[in-house]
Amino acid sequence: MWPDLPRLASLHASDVLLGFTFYYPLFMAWVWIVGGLWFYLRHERPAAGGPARPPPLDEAPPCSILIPCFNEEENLEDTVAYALRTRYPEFEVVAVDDGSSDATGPMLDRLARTHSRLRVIHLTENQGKAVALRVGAAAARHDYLVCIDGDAMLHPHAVRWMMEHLVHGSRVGAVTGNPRIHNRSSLLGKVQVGEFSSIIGLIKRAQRTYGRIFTVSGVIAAFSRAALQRVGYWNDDMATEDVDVSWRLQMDHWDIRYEPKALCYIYMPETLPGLWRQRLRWARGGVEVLLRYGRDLLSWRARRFWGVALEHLASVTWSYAMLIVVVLFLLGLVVPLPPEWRIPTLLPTWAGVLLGMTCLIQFLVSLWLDRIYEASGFLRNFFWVIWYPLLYWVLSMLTVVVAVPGTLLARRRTRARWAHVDRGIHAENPEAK
Amino acid sequence: MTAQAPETDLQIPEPIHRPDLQTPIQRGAFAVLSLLGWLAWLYLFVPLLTVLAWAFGVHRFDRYVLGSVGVSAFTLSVYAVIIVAAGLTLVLWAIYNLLRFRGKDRRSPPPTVSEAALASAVGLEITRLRRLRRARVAWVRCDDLGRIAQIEAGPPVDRAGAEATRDSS
Repeated sequence: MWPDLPRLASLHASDVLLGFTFYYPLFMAWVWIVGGLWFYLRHERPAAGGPARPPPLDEAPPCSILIPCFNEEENLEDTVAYALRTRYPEFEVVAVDDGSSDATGPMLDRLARTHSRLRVIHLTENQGKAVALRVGAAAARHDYLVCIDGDAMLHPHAVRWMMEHLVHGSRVGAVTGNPRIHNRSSLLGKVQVGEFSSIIGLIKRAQRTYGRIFTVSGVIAAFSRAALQRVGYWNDDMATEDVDVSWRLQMDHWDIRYEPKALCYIYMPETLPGLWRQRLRWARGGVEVLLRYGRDLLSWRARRFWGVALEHLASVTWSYAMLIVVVLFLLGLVVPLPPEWRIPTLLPTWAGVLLGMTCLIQFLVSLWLDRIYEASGFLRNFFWVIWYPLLYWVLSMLTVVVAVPGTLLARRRTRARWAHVDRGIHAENPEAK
Repeated sequence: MTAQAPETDLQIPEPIHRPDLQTPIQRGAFAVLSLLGWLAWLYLFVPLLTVLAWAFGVHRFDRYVLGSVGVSAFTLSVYAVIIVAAGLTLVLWAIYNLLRFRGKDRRSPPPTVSEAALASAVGLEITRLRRLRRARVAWVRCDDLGRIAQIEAGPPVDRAGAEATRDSS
C-alpha cells in the first residue's frame, strides 16, 4: 500500500514529469472542492435568501460607482442605467470616458443631463484603464469605490452586498463580486458560463477559505479608498491592473473578500481569437506579478500570501511541463527515444477514470453551489461544460507558454492600453449572421 | 417557441413548450428514461466501436487496465491519501484561523483619506482637486506619465448651469 524506497528510486524523470502534469490539476481540483464547500457552509448557507434579499443595513456610508470606458457606445447606456438603478441610500456614478473615438463621450454627456447622480470625466486622450481608474478615484467624492467595466450590468443589490464587507471589516481593502455571463449563444459562450459559474467561483471560494485570493475580478470589485491610498492606487504598466492591485493590497496586509451574492452581468468573447487575446492578457498579467513581486514575497511578513503565490507558480510550471509531455509524445511517434523519456500511451487507465470522475465531481459541486445565481438550472450547464477541461488546459498552457517569454523580453515598462475586446455575437453584428 | 410569424401572416397555433409546468420528479424521471434509452441504443453499436478501436490499435486495454490492477490500486491509494491530506490541511488551516481571529479584529478602522493626502497622491493642488471633485462634467488631460496635467471643469454638482471654469498648469 505504501511506497517502498526501491520503487521510488526507480522513478524516471519522465515519471516525475508525467506525474506532475496529470496529478497537479487532480489534487488542486480536490483542494478547490473541499475549500469551496467549506466556504459555502461557513458563509453562504447560513445567510438565508439569495442575492435579491440582502441583510438589513445598519450603516450605509455613501459610495462612488466608477465606470472607466473606452469605445463602449454599444453597451454603455445599459451599464449606466443598471448602475443608476442600484438600491443603496447614497451613491454617485462616475463614468470616465478614456478618450473614446466613438459616440461614448456625447452619449455620457446626454445621460448626465438627465440623471443627477451621474458625473462624467472625459480624458482628452486615451490613457488606458488604470489611468482612467486613477482619475476616476480622484474625482470620486466618497471613500468607497465600486469599480465596474463599461459593459457590465450591476445587480440592484450588488453594491449593498459588497459594502457590507467594507463597512464591517476594518482589515477589508477590497471585495470582489460574482460576474455572470450574459452572452451564451455559441459553444464557447456556454463553456464559459460553466467556467465562470462554477470553476472561477469555486477557486475564489477555496482561496477565501485559505485566506488570500489571487485576484479581484476587474469587472466588479469594490475598494476602500484608505487601502488604495496606502498602496498607491492602480499601476498603469501591468497587463492586468486587477491582479496587480490585488497582490499589492494583500502584501500590505489588507483582506480581500469574495461576495458571491454581489452579481453583475458581463459579456465574454465568443470567438477563439477573442478568447485567445483575453486569456493571453490574463496570462501576461499573472507572469508580470510573479516577476515584479517575487522577491518581496520571500519576506516572512508576506508569508500568508505564499500559498496563493506558490499555487500560481506551480500553474505556470505546469504549462511548460505539459508542453514537454506533448512534444515528447509527438517526438516518440517519429524518433526512437530513450525508454525513460518515452510517453508510452495515451490510452486511459484507472488514473484516467479518476481524473475524469474528479472533473465531473468538481463541475457537479461547483454548479450546485452556484445554482441560486443561475436561472437556467445547473444540469443544463453541466451538459455544456464538458469541453471546458480540454479548452482550459490547452488554452492556459499555450497562453502561459507564450506569455512568459513575451513578458521577459518586454524591455521596459510600457503603459497598458485597452485591448480590442470581443463581446460575443450579437444580432445586430453583421458578421454573426 | 417564439418563432416570428411568416410574411404571409398565416394563423398557425404555436406549440406549447412549458417543461417548467411539470413537477421536478416528473422532469427528472423523463430525463433519466431518455438517458437510459440512449445508453441502450449506444449498446447496439458496441461491435462497431470495437472494430473501430481495433482499427486504431486499441486492443491492449487488458494490458493497461487489467494487467496493471495491482499497480493501479497502489497508485490510486497514494492519490487518495494525498487528496485527503491536502483537503484536511486546508480545512484545519481555516479552522485555526477562525478560532484565532474570531471577534479579535485588532486593527482599528482605517482613517478617512483627507483631501490633502489624496491631492498629494494624485499630484494635484488641493484647489484643483476640489474643482475636479465638484464638477458634474469635466475634461482632463494627462501627461505622458498618466498624471493629471490639465482640468477643464463644467458646472459643479451643486451649481448646475454655472459657467465652465478653466484651469491649467
